[in-house]
Amino acid sequence: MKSGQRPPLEEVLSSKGRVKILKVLAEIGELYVSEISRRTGLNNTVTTRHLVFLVKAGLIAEKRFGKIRIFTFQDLDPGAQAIKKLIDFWESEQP
Amino acid sequence: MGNLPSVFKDESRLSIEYVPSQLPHREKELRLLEIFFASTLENPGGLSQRVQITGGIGTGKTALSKLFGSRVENTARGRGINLRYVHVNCRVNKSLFTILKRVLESLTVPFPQRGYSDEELLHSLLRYFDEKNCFLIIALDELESLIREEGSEPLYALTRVQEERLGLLQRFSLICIVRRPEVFKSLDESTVSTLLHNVIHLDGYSLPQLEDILNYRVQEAFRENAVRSETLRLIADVAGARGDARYAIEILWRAGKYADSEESKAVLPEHARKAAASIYPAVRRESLGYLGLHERLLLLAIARRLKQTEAAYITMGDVEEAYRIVCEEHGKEPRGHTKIWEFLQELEDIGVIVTKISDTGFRGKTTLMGLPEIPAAILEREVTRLLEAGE
Repeated sequence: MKSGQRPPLEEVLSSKGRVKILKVLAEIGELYVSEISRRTGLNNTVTTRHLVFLVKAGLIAEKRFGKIRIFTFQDLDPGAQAIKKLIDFWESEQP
Repeated sequence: MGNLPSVFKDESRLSIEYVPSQLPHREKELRLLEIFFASTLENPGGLSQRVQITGGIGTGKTALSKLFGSRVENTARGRGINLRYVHVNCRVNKSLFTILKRVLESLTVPFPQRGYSDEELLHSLLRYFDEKNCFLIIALDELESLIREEGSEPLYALTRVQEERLGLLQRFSLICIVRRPEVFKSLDESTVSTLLHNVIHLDGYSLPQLEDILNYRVQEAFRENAVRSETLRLIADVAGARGDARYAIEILWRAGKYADSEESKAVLPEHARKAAASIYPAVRRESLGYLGLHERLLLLAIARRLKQTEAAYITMGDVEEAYRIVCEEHGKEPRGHTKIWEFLQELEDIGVIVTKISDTGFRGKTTLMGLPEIPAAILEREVTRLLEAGE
């Protein structure tokens, strides 16, 4: 995937782990890696790999504050907005 | 069990955590705080403000600071300024790390709370505030505990961290709340010099002032006509000698409880008398509630030894011996002499024990420990109850 170019939707949504991460970040907004890992039940390496993918896809952003690194859901990105809508719809349908 | 009738309409209005929307007889001080922090609202980030609030127990320091905090947050919001107030009790959060942790939790800052030094965390927090354009007032309540535990370091870090950030906005302001300003004497000069400019001292409340405060709380917490005016006057009289509103409010609450337990429709002077007899200022909920396990064990040891010996004061040696026995009874490893000494200072600070230097009858000079006005048996009972409940 080249930077600045969105990957195909099926690629974004084809991984359970990525969807879990998107759900967590869409709800919370911003978090650090080990907390994302804890909430999704994925290990740190897998979490980091998915985060890198999602950053390149423009759906989340990485921010550094000194030594601390956090990941933020890109609320202003139209693609991220569309995914958030999908998540909200899907979650509201759950019993 | 059906709902029994109660004299209360909302007893949470008498809890220690509750901050009323008005503080009778502290209007001037509230205004003064607002004046000190006016520049924070007019020119956010231009200046890091530091204010000291001093005064005895129950003079309204905490309530004043918290009320100011909620008001300043509201005013800032109205002006589109992201200013937050975080109140930290240093008796509970005794290190810079736990203070920062409390700030992270209060403001839901998405930072890991482990793996970074205090300094790294502090710098990262400032950068995060830069990004969010957020300003923070941290109120450090019962600051004595932090100073005793960590000396000048935390205050130095909090005041100086911003000065190293040349050309950037000042993000933190501090309110330092202490009982006695002398505590600052133990700090190094460069730290003290930044803290001593703006001081608000709260004197104990007078009797009529206490009556006004009680009247206000009665309106908030009790059903109409549930508290007789003579009951209020009696409570004000009891608490008046100390000028301590918290003590007065606790008597009022307990009097209400006695009234309820007797299914009385009104809180009578007799209920207030019973309530006053059941609370000694030194064993109030907030005095003992914050104590750690070993401080409680030590207090139990002192109470027991004083009860057994029927002496007015006991020596440090006696205390240590009794403490070791109590530790053994509770299956805990006793702490060393230096730590015990620190615990004793803390217990004296909150007024639950008194110490004095021996004069005649002792070889050399030794520190003697006693209890202020509370019978040892009652203190023993209260501490045992706390230890058993594990509160």
